[in-house]
Amino acid sequence: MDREFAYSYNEYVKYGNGYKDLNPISKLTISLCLGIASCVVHKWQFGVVLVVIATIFALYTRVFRKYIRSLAVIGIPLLLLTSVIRQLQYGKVPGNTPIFKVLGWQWYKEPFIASMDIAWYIIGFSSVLLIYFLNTEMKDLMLALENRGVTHVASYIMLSSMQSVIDMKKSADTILESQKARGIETDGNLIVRMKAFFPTLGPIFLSAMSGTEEKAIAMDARAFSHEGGHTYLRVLRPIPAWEYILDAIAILILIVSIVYTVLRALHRI
Amino acid sequence: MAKKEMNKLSWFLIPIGVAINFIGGTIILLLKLPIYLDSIGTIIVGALCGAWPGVIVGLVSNILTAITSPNNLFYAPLNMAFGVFAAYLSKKGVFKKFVPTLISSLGFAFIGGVIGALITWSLYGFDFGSGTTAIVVLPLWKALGSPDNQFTKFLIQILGEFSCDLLDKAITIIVCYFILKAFPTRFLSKLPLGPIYISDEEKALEEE
Repeated sequence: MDREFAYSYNEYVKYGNGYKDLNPISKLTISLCLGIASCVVHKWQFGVVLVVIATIFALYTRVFRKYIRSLAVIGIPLLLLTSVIRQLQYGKVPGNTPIFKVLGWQWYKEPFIASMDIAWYIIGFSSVLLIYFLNTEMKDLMLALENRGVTHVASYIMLSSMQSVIDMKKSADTILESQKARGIETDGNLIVRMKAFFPTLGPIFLSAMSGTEEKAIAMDARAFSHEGGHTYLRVLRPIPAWEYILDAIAILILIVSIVYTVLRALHRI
Repeated sequence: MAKKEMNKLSWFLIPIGVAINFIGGTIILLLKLPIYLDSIGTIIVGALCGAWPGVIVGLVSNILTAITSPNNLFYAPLNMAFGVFAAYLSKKGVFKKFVPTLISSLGFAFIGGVIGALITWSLYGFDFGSGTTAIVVLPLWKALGSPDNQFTKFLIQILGEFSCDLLDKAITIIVCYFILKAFPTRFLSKLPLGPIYISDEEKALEEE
């Protein structure tokens, strides 16, 4: 009998990776502080630094492919479109410095820098949060929040939402196929496809909603409404002191960013 | 059913609302339609359970989309506002008839336009954004003579967001109307705002 799986519940949750084993709330604090600092500073240099740091962590935690794919989907259109829109708006403003030509179209430095500032701060924000979400199980985050006093209802809502999306997608595929078998056209012109939409959507939603009552009774039978404390199968490791130091550093970076931005706005630097 | 148990049913409806927000968009993609219905669940839960459940559906939906696209977090207030507005209109009985329901899509599109424009404006350095609404906003700006005035540009952004949202919200609201009509009375009676959608004939039968 394989006892390893059973005995694993006697130990703290661990992934064997320095970043993944950090407490979910510590990781979230660090990611949010750095992400918000990027939004506050609003400079392409800060965004690029965050992306480099996030990429290093992506390699360390072996999520590089998913990370780079998601970041490319966010970043490439943002970089291209923001640059083009700013050039269209401000390219010919007198005094702007010409830099290079794109397919014969003269681009100027000032709107280009402004567009890079916007695009890279959003990309920097996205990169640190992507690393967080790719390396943190939602159940661990909700467990950490429950340990801090958040109600178990919040855990149910988050985790059940994620599961419901998966379940409903399977149900949607089945219902779409069965409606096709009943003669509902799903290929053709716009009107034909619009007509297929309602008979597909209705059964999915109504069956999901009618199952809610049974779920409520089932959850009540499992002490969901019990007002007292709950016990847990998974236990997160106690937070070591150095994690609090990391959080403090991240908060300090955010505070310094805010002070820097305010002083810059007041032209003091 | 006791009032406390009715509120618990709202909690269990929230994950379904979140899933509906995702699935509406998935079906649209499968049918290759040029819209993205991502607020159906928010509006239905807001209309049946009240403002707070609607807000939670909107917020959780945005958190889940942020897992693959963190910049969606900035638009969470928009989805939450739809939940609040849906609850308000539901209490006024707007969703009981088709014409008022259809007219209410203007309200949703206006909220989408104003709040969406505020968020986009703030995100993109108090200037035009580079999202899908840019396809409408920039040509509109050029057609109006490329005004420099920031307030005028902001109004153009609102108009662009409103136009892009109008068709989407109109179809969303029509879908919500038919789904609310199709709910069984037994289920509606247990929800905070559900009795609004029970027809007078069925109420009279219950009293008998």
